[in-house]
Amino acid sequence: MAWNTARAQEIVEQLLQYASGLAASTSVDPSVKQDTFNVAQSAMAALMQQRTHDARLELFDGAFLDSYGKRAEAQEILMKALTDSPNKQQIMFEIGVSYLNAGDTEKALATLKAAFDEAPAYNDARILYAAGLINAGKQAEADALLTEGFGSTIVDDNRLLQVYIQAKTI
Amino acid sequence: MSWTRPASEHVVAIAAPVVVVATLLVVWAVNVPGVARAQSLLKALVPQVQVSNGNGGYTTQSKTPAMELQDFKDALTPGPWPGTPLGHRK
Repeated sequence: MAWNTARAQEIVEQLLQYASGLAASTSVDPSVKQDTFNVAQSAMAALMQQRTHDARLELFDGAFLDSYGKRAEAQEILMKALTDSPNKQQIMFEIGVSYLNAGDTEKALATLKAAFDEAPAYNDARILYAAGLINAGKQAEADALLTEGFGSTIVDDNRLLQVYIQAKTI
Repeated sequence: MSWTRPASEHVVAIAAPVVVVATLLVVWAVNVPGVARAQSLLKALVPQVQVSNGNGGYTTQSKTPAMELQDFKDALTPGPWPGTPLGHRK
């Protein structure tokens, strides 16, 4: 089906966010989940065809594909986004998280460190880099990074909590 | 020059309705497609739907993922009128 995407970027972005949220749900009928993925993917593909080299769309698409476990495709499109918008931290975060999800800790840390080095004053960059370090088992480095930025190793942040739970360190 | 002279009553009588209709058409064409687009997106984003309670009234119930997907499909379906940039991005 041809979607009316030319004037509907907001709808497509909301659909991708909705579909990404649905990806992790275990209670949704798999056929509905697949249909949602297909509609979102085709709508975004149509939009991206009209708006090539749009880093914002590529970032949305990469995050969406990653949420469905399509790591290679996600990383490919996210790298395109980073080419179209070099040194954009939000894109580097997404690439780092995708590498973490794929279990490629080395690349994840390199990317998250690069994002942090771009703007160390930005708390999100520090937290995500620390999360990557904790995920990689480098607790001492993560603690030093958090203490340097927040004056404590205990930082109220859901992403850190999630990575501590995954790493079973609490 | 001719356009600085007051128009005759006859000309005003002909032109006024044309101008009013043209203005209404422009206002409609500029605003309505964007408003319709926003309404369709809002419908897709609202997690509940109104259903009849059987007593002549209405009650709300959560939408199923299939219903939510259908609302997004409806929002993406091309409308009968050409679009405007309104509602393109938030």
